[in-house]
Amino acid sequence: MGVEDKFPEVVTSRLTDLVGWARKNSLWPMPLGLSCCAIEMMATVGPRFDLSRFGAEVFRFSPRQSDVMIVAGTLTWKMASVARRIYDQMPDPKWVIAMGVCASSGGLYRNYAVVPGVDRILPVDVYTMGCPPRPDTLIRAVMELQKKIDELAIDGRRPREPVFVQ
Amino acid sequence: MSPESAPVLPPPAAGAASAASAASGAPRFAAAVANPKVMRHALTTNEKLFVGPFLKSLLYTFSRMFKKDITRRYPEQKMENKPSLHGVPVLVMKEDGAPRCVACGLCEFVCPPRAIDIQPGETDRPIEREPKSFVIDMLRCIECSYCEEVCPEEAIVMSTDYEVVGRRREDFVWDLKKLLKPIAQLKDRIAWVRRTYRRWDSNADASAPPEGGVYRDPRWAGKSKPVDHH
Amino acid sequence: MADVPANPSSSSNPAAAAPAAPVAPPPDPLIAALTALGAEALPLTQDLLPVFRVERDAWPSVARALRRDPQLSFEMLIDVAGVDFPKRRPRFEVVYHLWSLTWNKVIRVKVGVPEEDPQVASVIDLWPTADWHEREAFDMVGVKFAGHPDLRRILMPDDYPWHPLRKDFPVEGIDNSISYVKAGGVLMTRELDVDRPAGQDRTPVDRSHGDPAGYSDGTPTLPEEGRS
Repeated sequence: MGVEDKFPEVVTSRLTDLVGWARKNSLWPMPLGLSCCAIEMMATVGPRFDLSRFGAEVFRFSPRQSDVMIVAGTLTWKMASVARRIYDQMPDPKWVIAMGVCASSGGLYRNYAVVPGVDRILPVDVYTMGCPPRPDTLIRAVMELQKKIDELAIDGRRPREPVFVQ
Repeated sequence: MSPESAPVLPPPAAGAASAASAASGAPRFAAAVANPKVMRHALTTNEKLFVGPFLKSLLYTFSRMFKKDITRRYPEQKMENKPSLHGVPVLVMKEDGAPRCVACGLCEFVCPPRAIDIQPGETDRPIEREPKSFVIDMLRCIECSYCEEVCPEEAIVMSTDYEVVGRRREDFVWDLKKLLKPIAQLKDRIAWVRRTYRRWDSNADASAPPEGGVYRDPRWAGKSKPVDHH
Repeated sequence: MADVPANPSSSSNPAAAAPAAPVAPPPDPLIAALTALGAEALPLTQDLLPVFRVERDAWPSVARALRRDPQLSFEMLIDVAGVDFPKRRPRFEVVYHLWSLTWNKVIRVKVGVPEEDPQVASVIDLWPTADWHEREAFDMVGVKFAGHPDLRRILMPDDYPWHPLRKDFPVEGIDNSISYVKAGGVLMTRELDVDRPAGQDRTPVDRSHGDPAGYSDGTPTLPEEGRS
């Protein structure tokens, strides 16, 4: 029983599913290009790899208009407060992709100046390996993030409740 | 200020230079005078109007619509599998299922980000040493292939897997179970390694084919042209 | 090394009179003029730059002469570097590279700075480019430049408590964690969504044994992972 039985051309869904579907297919990244990974990030939105196939090509250089932050490169402690401030300026719900080993764990730079992983200051959703990662890897990270968003509830934080099946 | 009244670069043999040279013996502005002047041509009417070049660029953009699409659809079309690709480092598993690695620790020593951790152990097999645990933190690995270059046993090589993505840092710590790869899947890379690193070996006989035969690029298959850069 | 004559003028006058300076092959009036100012000419190094050592108290007047004297006229300050020699007295050295565009000469001037009073006169009024160079030397080595209008850290965070290019500073940092940033109140405008317990921020890959390079891991916040 239900609407779909009476009107076979109508598809019903939960609002949560609809919002999640809309969110994951219109990610607007905030590019925090800090070093060489940024070059690969630029290549990812170029015609060869074309991130717009996943709806994530609208790189906004204003944090107010973006919802996923791509930390691409080596984050130093000097830059850490800036990165955190940019993250705080982004509207909820928001996600973080740590692109490359420098952003993910500090990588090669085990020294006093570099943050050993941006998860010291930001809640990272997807980590990416590579030095720098190929554009394919960033695309896969975006796909992984889409998968994660799909599992979230409407507030973008809690996991989505499962559909009740009789 | 007119250029006559304020010469930026006085000539080297000017009268003022003689006094200076008398004091120091060094010519004035010797390096600066050697710089040539940048020549620019005057703009044509077409360039001044800006319409022509503007339309030209628009036309170029428009014409791309009718040309071949260069986008590679990533999840379906992966990158070409070349043996020279620096992907994730993996451990070579012999036919009997044991790792080739003898836990000498050279890769641990040479790893620039120190991503490798080895604990050696002993076995009863003829090759007595083996790694009790071999862990690579893939979030530290920069895929530089130093470990492969330094390995005396050809036990660690770079694979062609390169898209490693995860949600937790713990997922990136790969142990023996995840690192071991059958040798049959790594033959191309091992041949490439032998061919490449033998180049730097001064004791190697460059005229002899490397062990395992001359590496042949599959793109040249059937064309009877071996790719050998010796 | 530190035996700069107490009365530089009397000892340097014969050097000015005799043009055959012992350190440079051709007789150099520049060396004579600098020696007359109170600088001590040091032996040439590999790069064949004339090197001078200046006492810290004499440095402001020497710098003014180097900049303003038409016979010297070093218009350009290429670099200011702070160097730490832990076993020497004085411990620190501030090295200036100066370039005379008029005479096409480059010299190097070293000013020793003791550890007890790490302070040297700023030359920002003579060469404005010294601004960021001196800030960097202050940040990395901890030499203070008296007279600098804005002596803040330039590379490290403002509330960073150490000077990381001193030789007794471990390269991996003393406490490479968020604590001091928190203490400065710069960063934490909201609570972290993920707060890793100590020890999980680095994976068990990190080891504390057999360090080939000879320096320790140096991160006391991280507990030792169980190594059987």
